[in-house]
Amino acid sequence: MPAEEAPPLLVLEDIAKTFRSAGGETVHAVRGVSLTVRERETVALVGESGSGKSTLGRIALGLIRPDAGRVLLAGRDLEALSTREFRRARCAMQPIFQDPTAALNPRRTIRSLLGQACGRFAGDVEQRSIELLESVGLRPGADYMGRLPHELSGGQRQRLVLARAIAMQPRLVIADEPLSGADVSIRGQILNLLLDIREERGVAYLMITHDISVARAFADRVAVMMQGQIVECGPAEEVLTAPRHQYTQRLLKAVPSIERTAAMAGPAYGLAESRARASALSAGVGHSGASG
Amino acid sequence: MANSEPGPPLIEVDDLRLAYVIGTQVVHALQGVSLVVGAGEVVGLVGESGSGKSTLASALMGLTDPRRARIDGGRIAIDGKDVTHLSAAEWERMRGHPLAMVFQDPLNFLNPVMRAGRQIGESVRRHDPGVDVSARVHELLELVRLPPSSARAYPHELSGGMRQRVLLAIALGCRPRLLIADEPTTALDVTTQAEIMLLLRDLCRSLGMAMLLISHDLGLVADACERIHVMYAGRIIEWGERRGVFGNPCHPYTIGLLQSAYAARNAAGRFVTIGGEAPNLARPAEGCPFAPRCGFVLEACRRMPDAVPVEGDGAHTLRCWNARSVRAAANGASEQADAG
Repeated sequence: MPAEEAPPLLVLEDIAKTFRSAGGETVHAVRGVSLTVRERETVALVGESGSGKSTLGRIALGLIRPDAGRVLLAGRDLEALSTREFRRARCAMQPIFQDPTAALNPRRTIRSLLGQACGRFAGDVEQRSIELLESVGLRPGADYMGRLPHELSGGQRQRLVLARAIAMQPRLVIADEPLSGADVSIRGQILNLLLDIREERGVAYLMITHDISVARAFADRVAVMMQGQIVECGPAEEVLTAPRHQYTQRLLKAVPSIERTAAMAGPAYGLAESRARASALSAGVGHSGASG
Repeated sequence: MANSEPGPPLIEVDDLRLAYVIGTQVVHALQGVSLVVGAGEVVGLVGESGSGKSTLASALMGLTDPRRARIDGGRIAIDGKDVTHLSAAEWERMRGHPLAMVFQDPLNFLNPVMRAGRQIGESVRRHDPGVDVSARVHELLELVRLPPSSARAYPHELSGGMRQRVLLAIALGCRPRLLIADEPTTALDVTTQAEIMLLLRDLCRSLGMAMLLISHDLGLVADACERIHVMYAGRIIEWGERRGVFGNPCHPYTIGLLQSAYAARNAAGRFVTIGGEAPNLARPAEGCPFAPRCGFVLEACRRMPDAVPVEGDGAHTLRCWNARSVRAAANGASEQADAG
């Protein structure tokens, strides 16, 4: 867990953005939002679709220009940079989106997809690409180099997207619903990979998600967004177990919960048992490494 | 399975085997599935993508493509009538009543150039001949809690949740005794999802309608269903009352799935995952389909396990040769939990 005093990495200052819809209506997508992600910290941005969380993520990435407010990456105002400087600075911040298929050029081999990213750095591109593939659990890496994205499973594709993101040696990864496309049993694998990347490379995450259980398990801090504003922000455990804002309470109540059902079924089937069972059985059932 | 209700169950699937023939490839999507849904029951079917749950739903509605899907064995009875080998024309007559269905993406199932009210009206005309169509449409809109004005709307003018309500109104226009809901809220936000699930449950109660809820979302199924079936690789591997299946899961796959679903971490702080990948149904292996991913494999697992009841846990059954070891490991864990 990062120290509270870690220096800020990404600072969003009073960001506002309006869109004009096809019907000519003005949509206030983001209304005066400030948010800080510190070095090595994981912040989850939760809210419903339409709350503006993806727009905020895109503004942070410089994909959308805000109407008002500033984006500071490691203390530098992105707006004040020249295009060239901006491109260089942006490498420190890599996106991952929900649908890995859409993020990968279908006509390029994995060698070509990774080579593009690795080519920015000195050293043997081929060797580095293979190392990256193996670090995300695609082993042996050499076997994957000649393949096309469609020859991989959904989970493998998301791993490839992660490999490409970390090829840029980012300090911050902005992940917009990275687990939504994945099946339940794949989720754990991707989450473990994100944990590894955090530990080994000291990356910070801004994780945009509607999945409360993921936010709870993974994030240090949680920011709850509603109608373009952050209504509650604080330590994950605090916000998600004792929410103060009415909207957060409503959001938590709306999430179907196995925990709640287990509790309903009586103490004999309580969560404590399930949790304990998780650790006892993980040796047999779950392969907790970044298994392929 | 205890079925004390009078009359035959609404759905009775017995050892159903279904394969898709794609070119020279044969994909064995259902490999001996049995399932019963009685009148008024809310039953859940969970599984990951490719487990065969949507194939089962399609088979129950006669929606599998006869050019590609081949029933290799077993039997489907709906309301006591054997429908396993009905012709397309015979299916056409029985679809909608007693079984109707709603799907994941309502936009795909609504006509984009026809107002919602007219689409609901089509179902009313078909299933309630002679009734005052517009009055019945308004009644249906009220039932799914949509304002009367939405009858005039085109699908693109409605939100995702409202579109799902329109689809539901069309289904209810058939006066079904059982609704098959295949991932009815997957495309929706959590709060909209909660509203739709509440609506579905209220409708089941007030109309005395049964529901087969199909989802990959274990929490959703846990919240809604009294009985739950867990599907893996074309087979149902654990089933029974919710209390048993989710409160005291005994199949290693169910256990792994539950842990993945609530992002459980093991002692080392890692998220629990199910290693390996789901088997290729084009090349089904002999025996238990979960064996290649299972940590409790025995010699016996080369043969498909029989259905064995879980002792002392009522109507709770699973297909696993090594349930004893899995349970022992689980009980060891709960003793630790009690001690802790």
